[in-house]
Amino acid sequence: MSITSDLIRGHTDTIILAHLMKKDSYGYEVNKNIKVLSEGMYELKEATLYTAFKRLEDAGSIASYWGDETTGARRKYYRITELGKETYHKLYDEWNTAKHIIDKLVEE
Amino acid sequence: MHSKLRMYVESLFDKVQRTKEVVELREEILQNVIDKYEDLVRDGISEEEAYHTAISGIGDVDDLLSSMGVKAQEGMYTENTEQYSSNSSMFQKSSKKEGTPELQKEEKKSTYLLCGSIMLYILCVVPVIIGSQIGGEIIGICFMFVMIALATGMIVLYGKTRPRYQKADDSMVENFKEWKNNNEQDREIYKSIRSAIWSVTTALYIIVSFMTMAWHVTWVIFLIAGAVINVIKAYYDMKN
Repeated sequence: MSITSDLIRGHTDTIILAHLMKKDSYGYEVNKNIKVLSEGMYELKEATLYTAFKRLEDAGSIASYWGDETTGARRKYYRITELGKETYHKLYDEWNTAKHIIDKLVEE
Repeated sequence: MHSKLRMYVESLFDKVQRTKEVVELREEILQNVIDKYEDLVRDGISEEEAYHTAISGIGDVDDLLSSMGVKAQEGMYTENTEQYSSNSSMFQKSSKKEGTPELQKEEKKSTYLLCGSIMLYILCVVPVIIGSQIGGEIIGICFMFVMIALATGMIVLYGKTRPRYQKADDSMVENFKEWKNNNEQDREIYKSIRSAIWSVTTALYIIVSFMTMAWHVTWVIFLIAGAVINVIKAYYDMKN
């Protein structure tokens, strides 16, 4: 965790939803994807990840189901719901707006 | 190293009630940590270092647990005695086992039934001995069979009345225990019937053989008993 994680943590939900927009996934895959995309600069704590999963599931943005792995451990998969897709687009727009504003505000 | 990871993850959850939800979450997080550990080892990191990196990535689970509406309970009775955290709760285990008064009463009744039937089995030769002394051999044998029948009936009843396992909570462990217990109960009944048949067969064999002195044929009775037991076993298997 080499960059200020507090700045990013506020966008955990958006990041998770963005990943689930592509495909259904399980906890470790989501986190690994975050690590790969951020080129190893950012990674979620398991506690943060599952708190977010719980929050999103309670809100109806994602749903979970057990995978049917024939080998190895059974995994719980998460998929995005229609409501979740709406939420994702809303959060994505909000972030773009915020990014634009902050860029303007912090420029020399 | 996997068991070390498991122990660590389980220790994070040992203060909370083991609901199905919590156990599932625990297993999910554990699987995550194992995946991460495996990946790190594959990348050429030493096992020790990978272990520490994996567990330090878990973070603080307290918020997560409180978001699930689970309150940390001090001195919760824990199922897993292997946990390395020294927990005073171990002592509460026995008090939890006692169950409700009705359950205790049932248990007492079952114990009486079992003791009574064993006593009858042991004493069933007494009428035969007395009978042979006073010349009423047939009556003595009849009494013996009545006693055996009574004892067998009691042992079957014991298998049926023995109280079923009551769930302590709604966790997976408890559900498994209940299922296992119910399964075992059926097996217990079968086992008691089987042992009863064998003892009756042995008694019959000895009596018939002594009365007829046809030792060369009477052993067939054991084959018949074996067949009968297999039929009963087949019936039980079909029922399940």
